[in-house]
Amino acid sequence: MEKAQDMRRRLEAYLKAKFPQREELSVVEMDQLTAGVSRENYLVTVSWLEAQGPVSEGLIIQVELGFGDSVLVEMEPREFGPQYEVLKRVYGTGIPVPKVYCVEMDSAVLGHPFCVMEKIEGEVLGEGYYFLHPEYHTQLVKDYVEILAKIHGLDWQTLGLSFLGLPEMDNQRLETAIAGFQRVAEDNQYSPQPVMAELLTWLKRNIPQPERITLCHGDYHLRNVLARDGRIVALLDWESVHLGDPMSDIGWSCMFLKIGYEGFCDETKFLQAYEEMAGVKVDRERLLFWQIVAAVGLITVGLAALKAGIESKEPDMRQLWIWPMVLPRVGDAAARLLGF
Amino acid sequence: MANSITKIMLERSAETIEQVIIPNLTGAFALEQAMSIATVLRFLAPVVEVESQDVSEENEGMREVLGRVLEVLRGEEALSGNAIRNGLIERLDSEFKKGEVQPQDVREENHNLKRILMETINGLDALTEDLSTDTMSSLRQQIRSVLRQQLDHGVADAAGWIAAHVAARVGSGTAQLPISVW
Repeated sequence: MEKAQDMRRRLEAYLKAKFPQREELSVVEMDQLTAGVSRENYLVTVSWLEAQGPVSEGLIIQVELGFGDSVLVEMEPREFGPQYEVLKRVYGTGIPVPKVYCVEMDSAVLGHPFCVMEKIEGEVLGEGYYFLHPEYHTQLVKDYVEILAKIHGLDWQTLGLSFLGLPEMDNQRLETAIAGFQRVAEDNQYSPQPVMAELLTWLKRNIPQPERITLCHGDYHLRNVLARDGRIVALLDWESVHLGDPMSDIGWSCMFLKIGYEGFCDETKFLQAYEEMAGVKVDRERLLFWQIVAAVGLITVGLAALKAGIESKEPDMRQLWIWPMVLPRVGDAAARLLGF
Repeated sequence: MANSITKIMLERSAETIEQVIIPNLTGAFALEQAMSIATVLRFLAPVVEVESQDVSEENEGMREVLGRVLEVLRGEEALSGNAIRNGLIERLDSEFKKGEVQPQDVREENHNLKRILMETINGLDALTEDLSTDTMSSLRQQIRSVLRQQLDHGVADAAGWIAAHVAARVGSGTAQLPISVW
């Protein structure tokens, strides 16, 4: 409680300095949200005075925790800033993203770097929205596919996104990532993963060359999407954004459709719709590779989160049951793709 | 092995969290934490005995396939100077001898066998060019059938987790449909 109050005080002082035009700004409510493994998300309501009276606004504060000393840092070093720079540049291109107000890299303010962004009203698509609103289902699927096709169709050079770094055409980055996945599997003392070992041996022998390089969201699935009034209104969690093979996003998304969101969209229809909207053919062999990468990536994240949940002094209890529920389903889906 | 008292204790604990603690919580994060504890307890209550049986079956399957790998590798005398082959033989030998000398707890054995199975998969992959295609294909098929058994058990467990979470949500009056898998 004391920690929360201290954080609220610090945040209020910070926002007052950032928004000096907002008179008598105060944080009237702060609630830790339930989403996020590598970061903490807070919903903050601020109010201030304007000529016509008091005004209030909802803000999202994303505090970047990183993965501590987990192997994920070594495997895929992530910087805090670039994802928000991408959000700023993608804002206004027709892809629904929240407006970023400010990014604070100084850990002294809240203990970690954080970002302040617009709160978009909506419900998480993957939490039953499409099921509870069957009348919107067709439009939601269309939006879901169209947004992905739009991301892959963006001219990233014109948008100035080259700073994300071009992947090596010899797939060195992919080989490094696979080696990182292998380390997670081998170092994990809580739950040895022979299925993952089998998937990794297959991956190492089947690395494809990308046909084209596009902006990739990196974590495109129904739980990162908000919907309102039958339309998708926000695509969130850009922490894995990169330049790379668009098949990686499609494979990632397909893996999610297989492990719990079958009711949203059948994979065949998803691919067909993507091909129509993006105007490109999805190469099924490369897609298979990227689906296995997605499975191994998810298992890796799950193992790291499970480890963090077990070893943390203040564990997020969800990590202790969500991953044992998810990981076998992911392994099962990947194994079936490879014929076992 | 769980007995009925353990099962009842776990269920009552879950009910207390759902009906006494959760209604008095206000923060979304605290509520999810309490719900998670109730889910864990609901999952544990019915599965302890079943899991124990699954684990024994898995151990049997892994011992069989690892024994087969050991037999094949020992027969590959042309590779007697191959460090990977020799290391794998030594590792497998040592694990089998350990089991003979001192019976292991079924879960501990499962953990050890899975770790060795991982090492075996990696070792065989490194020997792909040294072993005949038929040998590799046969061993891979046997390994994959053991992996399938483990996956089936895992998927059944996952269904148990979903059911536990649904029960926790219904028990606390916070059910929403559909309850997503994660």
